[in-house]
Amino acid sequence: MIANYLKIFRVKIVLLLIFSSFTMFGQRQTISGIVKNALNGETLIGATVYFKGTNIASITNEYGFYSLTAKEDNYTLVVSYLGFVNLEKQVDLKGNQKLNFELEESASQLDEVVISASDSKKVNLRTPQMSVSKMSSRIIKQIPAVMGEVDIIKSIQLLPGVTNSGEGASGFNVRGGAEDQNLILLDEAVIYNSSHLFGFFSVFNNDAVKDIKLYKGGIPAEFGGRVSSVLDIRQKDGNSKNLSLTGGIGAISSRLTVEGPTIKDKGSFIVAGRASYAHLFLKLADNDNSAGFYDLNFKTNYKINDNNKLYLSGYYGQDNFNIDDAFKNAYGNLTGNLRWNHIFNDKLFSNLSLIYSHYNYNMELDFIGLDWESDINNYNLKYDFSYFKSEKLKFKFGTSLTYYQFNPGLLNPLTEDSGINRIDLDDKFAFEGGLYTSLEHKISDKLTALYGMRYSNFYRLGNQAISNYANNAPVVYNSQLGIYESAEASSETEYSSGETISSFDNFEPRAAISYKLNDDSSVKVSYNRMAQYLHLISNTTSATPLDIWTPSGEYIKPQLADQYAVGYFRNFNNDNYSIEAEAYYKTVDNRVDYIDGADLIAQNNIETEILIGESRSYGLELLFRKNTGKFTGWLAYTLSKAEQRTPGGSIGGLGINNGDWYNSSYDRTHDISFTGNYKLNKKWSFGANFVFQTGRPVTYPNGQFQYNGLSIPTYSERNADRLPAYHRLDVSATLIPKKNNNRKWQGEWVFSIYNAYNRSNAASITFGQNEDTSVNEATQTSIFGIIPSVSYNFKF
Amino acid sequence: MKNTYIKLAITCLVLLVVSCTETVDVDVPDGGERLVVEASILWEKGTTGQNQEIILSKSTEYFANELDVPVTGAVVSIINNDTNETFEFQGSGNGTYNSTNFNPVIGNSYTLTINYNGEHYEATEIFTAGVEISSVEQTLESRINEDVIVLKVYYDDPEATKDYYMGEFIPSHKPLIALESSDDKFYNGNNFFIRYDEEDLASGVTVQVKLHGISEDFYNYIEVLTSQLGEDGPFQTTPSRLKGNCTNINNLEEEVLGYFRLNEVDVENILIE
Repeated sequence: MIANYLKIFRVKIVLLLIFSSFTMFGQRQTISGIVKNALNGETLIGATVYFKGTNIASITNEYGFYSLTAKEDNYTLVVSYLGFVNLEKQVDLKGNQKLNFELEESASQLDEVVISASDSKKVNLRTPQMSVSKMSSRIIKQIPAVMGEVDIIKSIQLLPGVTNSGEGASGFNVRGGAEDQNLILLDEAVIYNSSHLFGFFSVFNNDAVKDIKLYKGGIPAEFGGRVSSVLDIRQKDGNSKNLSLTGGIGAISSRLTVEGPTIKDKGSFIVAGRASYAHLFLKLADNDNSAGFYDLNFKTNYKINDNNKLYLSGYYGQDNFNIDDAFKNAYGNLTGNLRWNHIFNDKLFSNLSLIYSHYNYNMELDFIGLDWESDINNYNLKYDFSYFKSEKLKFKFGTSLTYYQFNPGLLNPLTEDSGINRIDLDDKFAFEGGLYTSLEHKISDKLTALYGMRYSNFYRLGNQAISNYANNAPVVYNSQLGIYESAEASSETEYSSGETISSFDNFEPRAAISYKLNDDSSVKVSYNRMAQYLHLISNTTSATPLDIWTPSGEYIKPQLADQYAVGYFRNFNNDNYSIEAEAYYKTVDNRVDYIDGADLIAQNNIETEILIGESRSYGLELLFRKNTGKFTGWLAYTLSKAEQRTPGGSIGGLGINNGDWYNSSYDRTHDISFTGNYKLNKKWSFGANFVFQTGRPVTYPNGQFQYNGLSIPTYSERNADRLPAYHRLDVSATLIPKKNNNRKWQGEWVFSIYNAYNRSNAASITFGQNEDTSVNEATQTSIFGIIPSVSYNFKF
Repeated sequence: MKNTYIKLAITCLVLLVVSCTETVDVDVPDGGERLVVEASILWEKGTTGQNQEIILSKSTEYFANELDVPVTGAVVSIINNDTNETFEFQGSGNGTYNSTNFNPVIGNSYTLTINYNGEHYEATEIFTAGVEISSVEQTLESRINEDVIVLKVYYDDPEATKDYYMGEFIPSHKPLIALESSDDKFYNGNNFFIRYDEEDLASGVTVQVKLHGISEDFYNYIEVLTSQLGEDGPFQTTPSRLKGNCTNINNLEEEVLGYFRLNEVDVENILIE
């Protein structure tokens, strides 16, 4: 297996060399370096560095590194980053040079509150990368949040093409994709469950986060493993200038972040903690109930010399519930990442990462005497290179190796007199490899192309026994009754430790082209193929933490997605405003669907409960932004469709829902979000959100019948009905007291009202008989009504 | 059983966070009238099992004023496929059909035949054995704001077989019957229980407890049925068509509701103390 892998790696390198052999004429020199925030020494990701009056530009990578190559000449070098003051420097480009920059935040001199977007937007027009949304933690902080708890995942749902299944549902959906199709990375480590409190809050502490990028399409070749999106979250490196303390006291949790330099000019650290109050939501304090979460972010870095830097970062978060000792539940993520940044030369940047991710889910059910433990471990080695070959050619290439261990469940009797038997569901093991290369090629001043290829493979490994079924069909169709049933295993095949059970490999081409129509507008097209080897097994209308991840294998094939997108981008009115319009079409093969009445809990043979189908989605996204001035914000509109279907195929029968296309539960025809922030003066600023969405597709009963003294609803076509439309308005006001001016302690009050007009948004509508009258009725459950809250944030 | 875990766990969570539930008016689709077969041939331990009743009705719109639409004039019989004994069920004009000479044999295969409106309906099922209730325990469990009386109905699960159970709980203080299904996946060979968990269970109420030993097919049916009774809130399993085992021989496409099952049942009446 490894030999095979290396063989392909060699082929890649050869390919790369061929690509690289486009040599450039003329005497060319390179200037490279790191761009940082002057205030705290944080490296800036995505800052633009360019020579004024030319098209020669570079964007800083995840470590703030840039590299520019041009003919020997005198240039004005400009460094710009939204929200920061542009920096210009005269450069006499003779010989290769190293130049590091520190930018001043424009917010710190906001007397006249005019943020100049300057030229920073122009380059965005040229890069072929599309369908990407960037958010800084500063913007996220301005968005009103439920109970004042600043939330990254909730904030990205205000972007076009991103929704979720409603309040209290885990995860999010991108362009009609499922919750498990998002690759969520915190400092490169996979986060398997991004929810605290079963979806009410996300696991990311905004105070520890520097940069957030959501790729909805045109996903770069360096990412793989999920078919719908990549949410790339980078933690702060820690203030390298001063020791500083930030924190806040909110309605849900309190936060404290300490950061500062370790060894002068050599390193810094950040530790951020957040903990909720123990009796969240619980109205009585004199009982044994508790529900809460905490998380801890950590990062430190050490600069060995100009060309070598080490980073160590980690995250640990847990949720704990205890309901009268009858139901205890704990779950959370643990990640760690050790990185080595090495700059080979002014054109070749590399990063080696050793990453560990762990997710655990435990529950104790006292009322039946059951203790349940499950977890996932993965170990990942990544080596990524950026090669800034010339002003026209930029390469990226690298590899990623991941080893997975899944423990889907170990069930134990909770007490000695419990009638529960010990059940150990089969542990599963897998290896995933990835190799990629991509090239950004500036073909002409107007035309830039991005070609990429990712090769991924996946080995499901022993030690495990795999069930065999007659005709290789774990599900059979009962044509008499018209239902799908689980087949009984006919035999088992034992695989020893490390032995390959099944293997898959895929080439995943990625391509994008941008064409600049003029200085203010461009069109882009992109295509990406993605393979996903892990599946979240979930049969509920919205994902819950009880859902189990399972790797591809004999009976569950990898999901494969193809996405096509086209977009129009325009900056206008001196770049104060921008418009982004994109259309996409995405198909996913091998999407798992569940037979009626599927038994997924503690199921050792998941394959006997599923059928393999497909999904497709398409839509139009519009984003109108105001980037500068006292008022900033955006208006997003998405018109979309997301469907799936699961034919019976070789098993027989028509399939699930008669094999017809039906709405995915994350289909939203219309989705409008407005987010605005108005900075009145130095003391006051105001924020508002408005969200309107078509209701979630649901299935309503098409009749009832009397059975065993009960009225039983009958259902037919899946997801043919819809909940009422979802809408709400949130507002917030931030007060920065005047007395802040002359002191180190900087305080800030945030007053917010979530769901200001107290809309009862339906989280679900269920049908049943009234307990007392036994008359049929429909009951709507709503989660959050109007919620005012106050939080206090400070910086020291 | 499988849903019970989720349901209880999720119900706890929903209790924690839900700000409000309210009854709402909803326009629901109309799937039309369908034949409903409630053919539950039950053999109570200690009886002859000779007297049996089958109920035929029509489905209605979900919010119809009259939910019970009896079907009369059908010809109903059951044949024991192992012995070829036939039992005629006589209609009494109100949708019920009765036999007084039924002969239950555990493990035998039976076929139900219904002739109605020129259509011919059939269903075949095996007579399933049940186990005895070994004990019933009344416990007090604390919930977030109150203590709740819970009944645990214990039985000895046979180790050699995969077994399926349904608890039926008929309380005296309210109209709704509770059904709770369970399989022995987690407790094979042990003494285990089915729970009856109703918030307003109080001293003085009697609960008739029926423990049915059921077939795997009926277990799958009743699992889907109970999961669609509307208690799961936002984490509901995606509702699906509830397919029973009765079919129109000449038109397999016709949706026939209900189920033909034959099983042993143990019954006890419990007075809540």
